[in-house]
Amino acid sequence: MKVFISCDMEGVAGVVDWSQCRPSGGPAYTQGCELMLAEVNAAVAGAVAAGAHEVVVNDSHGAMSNLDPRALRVPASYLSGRHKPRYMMQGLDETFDAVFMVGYHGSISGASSVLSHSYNPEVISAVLLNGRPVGESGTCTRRWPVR
Amino acid sequence: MACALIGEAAERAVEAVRSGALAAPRVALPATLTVELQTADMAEVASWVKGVERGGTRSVTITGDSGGAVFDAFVALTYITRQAGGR
Repeated sequence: MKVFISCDMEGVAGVVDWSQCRPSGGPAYTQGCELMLAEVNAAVAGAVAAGAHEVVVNDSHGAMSNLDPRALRVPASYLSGRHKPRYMMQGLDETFDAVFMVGYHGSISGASSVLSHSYNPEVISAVLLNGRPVGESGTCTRRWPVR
Repeated sequence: MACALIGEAAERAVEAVRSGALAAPRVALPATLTVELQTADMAEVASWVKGVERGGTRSVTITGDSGGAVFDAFVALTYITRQAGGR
């Protein structure tokens, strides 16, 4: 069983301000990264406990290098840095059995939620898939290989 | 608390996939992704990406039989508009 984890930041529990999501936030950003890492590691642990033998974590937030690779729970491997042609779904192919989206958040055009946005809020005001409003998770499903 | 919930949910999810109780969402093809931009200027810049068509004053569309191609064009849209005036 192979599991792909795409991790974002604004939907992580305890992340409530942009200062926690951007390196310019200093100590607040450091805290945000720690909270994000804890949720990613929890997802890895759960997947492994259920029998996953391979887990790939794709950092999908900002500059996409928010986690300390040394602190990532074994056996997860880590895709970090930018730019990635497949962005939040970089590394995903048909060999994976499951996709987890950790730290994902509400969309810019959806119901009220903490730090809601869709990609770049200075540019994008809504995204619709076949006429249905979607956020980042819904958009990313277009990259899922369907067996 | 959140981490405990995530860990338990991850475990249940893998078990559900293994048993066939959970499948990937399916979207009718050809799929059309409509993106509404904050400004007409950004809609214009977005339309420079291959596969992205201007749909309205502040909107563009991406249509394709392959979900992957639609997503790849969308990623290019996000990159070019970020460089052109966003953050």
